[in-house]
Amino acid sequence: MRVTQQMLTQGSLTHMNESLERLYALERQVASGKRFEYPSDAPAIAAQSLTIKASMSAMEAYIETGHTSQAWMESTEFASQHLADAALKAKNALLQGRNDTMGAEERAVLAQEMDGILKSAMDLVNTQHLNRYIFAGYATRTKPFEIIPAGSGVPPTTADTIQYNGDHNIMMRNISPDETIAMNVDGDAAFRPLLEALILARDALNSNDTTAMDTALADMDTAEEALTDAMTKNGARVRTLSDAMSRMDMGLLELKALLSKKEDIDMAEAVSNLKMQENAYQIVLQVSGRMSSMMNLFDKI
Amino acid sequence: MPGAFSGINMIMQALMAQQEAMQVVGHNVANANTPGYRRQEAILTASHPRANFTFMGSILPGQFGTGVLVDRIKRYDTEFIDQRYCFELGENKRWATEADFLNQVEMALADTGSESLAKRLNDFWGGWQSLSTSPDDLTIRQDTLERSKAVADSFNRRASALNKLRGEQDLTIRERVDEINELATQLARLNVEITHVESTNHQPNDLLDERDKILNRLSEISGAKAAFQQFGQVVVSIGGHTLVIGSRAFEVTATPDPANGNLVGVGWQDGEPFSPVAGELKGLMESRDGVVVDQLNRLNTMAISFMDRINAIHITGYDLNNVPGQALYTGTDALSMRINTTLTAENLAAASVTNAPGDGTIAKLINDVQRETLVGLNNMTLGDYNNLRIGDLGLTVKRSTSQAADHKTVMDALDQQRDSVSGVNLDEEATKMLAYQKSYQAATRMMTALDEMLDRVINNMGVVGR
Repeated sequence: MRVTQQMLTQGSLTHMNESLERLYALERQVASGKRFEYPSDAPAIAAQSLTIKASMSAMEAYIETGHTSQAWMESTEFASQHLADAALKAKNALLQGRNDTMGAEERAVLAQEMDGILKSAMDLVNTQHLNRYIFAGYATRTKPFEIIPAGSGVPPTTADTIQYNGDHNIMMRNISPDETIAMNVDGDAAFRPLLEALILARDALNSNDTTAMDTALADMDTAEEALTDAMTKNGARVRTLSDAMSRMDMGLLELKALLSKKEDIDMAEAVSNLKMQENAYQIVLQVSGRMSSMMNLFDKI
Repeated sequence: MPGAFSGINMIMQALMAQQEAMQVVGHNVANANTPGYRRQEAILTASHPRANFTFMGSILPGQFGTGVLVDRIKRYDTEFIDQRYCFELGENKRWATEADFLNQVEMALADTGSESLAKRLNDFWGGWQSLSTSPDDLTIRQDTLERSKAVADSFNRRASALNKLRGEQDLTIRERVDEINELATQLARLNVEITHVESTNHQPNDLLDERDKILNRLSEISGAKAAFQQFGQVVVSIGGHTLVIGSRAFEVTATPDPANGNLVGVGWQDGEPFSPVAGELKGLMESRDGVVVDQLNRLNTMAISFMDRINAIHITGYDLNNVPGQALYTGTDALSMRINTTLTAENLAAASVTNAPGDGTIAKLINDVQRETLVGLNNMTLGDYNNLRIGDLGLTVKRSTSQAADHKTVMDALDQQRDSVSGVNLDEEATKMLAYQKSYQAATRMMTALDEMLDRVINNMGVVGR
């Protein structure tokens, strides 16, 4: 083949350019730590990594809201636990009062105690979590329980009554794409029997009425059942939620690893490739330099 | 028997021929690095011989040579390589232009960055997921509203960037069209000149170089094809329509096309559509009206499906003040999509019933849209549709880049082959220079010898006894 001066210069130029281009691409990879910058660098991997990122983002959202639900349910657990304690205390007091050796005055003292228990129970059923009433169904801004004093209403009531201002809706929350969980308990169903039993017990102690005390005792048992039922359900949900969340945490970790495998370069490999390309470029430069400074016949004659 | 003076004449011709050959060597050396230059060579040939005389009834040996002549100045041309080179050049430029442009599109869409549309959508879903859990939390409501706005912004920015890029292509297209017309005029003029020179039996070598350079550039811009005719005339056509024939050039026009958003439409003066098969213009027009429009359409489809679906769910809900939900978004496409500006954080309709600040049913339904396959999106989810859009663009860019590289490889190989035939090799020129120089020196020596011979005859003959 006949070789001409232009072929030589053109060839060196092309090779220098190509070598520099490869060097630049590798340098960019090492600097960014990523295997691609634009989708066209690796279309298939880019699409996969976007899908992974979407799943991760959804999972992160579930984990975040999971924490919110968890805090809510822990407040529920806390309040019901204390209500259960109160119920136990009330039952003991009532049993003590029911004792035939008790006189009216002693029973009145116990009624006082019962009233105190009722007051603290009212506080508990109106528990707020982050300024929201947790036992009011959807009506989180409405104070759910109220005591309507005896003698109000038409016809006037003979005893204090419990009024529930919330609704009976159950808040369903997604804890994963296909899994929902009830976050709240129906306050009315869970706590009204207890509150009513407490009122009845207090009034019975006050009025020294042993028949009413027996009724109150039976009511108290029913109320405890309702309370326990709500607590058990809530506890089971807390466990389900925390299981789901730890599953999600693990899933997120796996996705992160997968994403890194798709997106991140193997630094050791990339750096050694870069080093190799640097050497290659040096050699191209040397050869090109030698070629362009090479003499031709004109220099010799 | 030749006369004594014919020898002088012959040597003089030889001197002139060597000088001319030397001139051609000089021309080659001077243009060793001129792009598009084809090396030339003085073709030396022995001039017509002469029969000898009959002398005293006998035929003397003959014929006598009469020296050397420059027959013609040969141009090393490589027509068949040129044609293939032009084809590859046109294809290379088409794909390279497209790749360059699509790289800009990719940058403008920024689909893998932290500000990507996919990220904004993910944030949106996350926002509504949070809202579904804490529908009565004003901070979360505000955050969700901001995230919803960010989606609209994200669509807007991309649509307007794509429109802007399309507009920028217009300027380049106009410039290229002007250049075609300029080159066509030059070519028509060259056709006339070349024919003129050839008809006088000369070689218009440098004019041919200039012509080939123009043909190259025309292929580069528009994939123009050339057909060679008698007397060095060339007929050039682009996409089946004649651009130059003989001394006539047809004009290409670029006028704003109202049907295409006032972007320029390219056509022939006679009203025919201009449809290049390769070259920069093909790349420019294909990406401007093909790939970018496709991306815009897909963004619009996404924006519309998204808005329709979200709005449809949102208006079935109730906000914190028990007012029925309004449309979350207004607008008809990716560019005009806006968040409903009358909405405040309290107006987000998370609840499905009134008087239920703790109800996040609607927010949950909106969050569920990310997993819904939408009819408007060919039964794909928004995320999948977006990924497909990004993947397709990536593949198109990759295809353009590798096509450009492939054609460049062939082009470079052809260029080398051509250069191998028609390029200047300085060693070769130096050798020729030496040869012609030595010949010239020898001829002058010969001239001196002849001079001395004649001197003998003229001044020293017949002087016996003088």
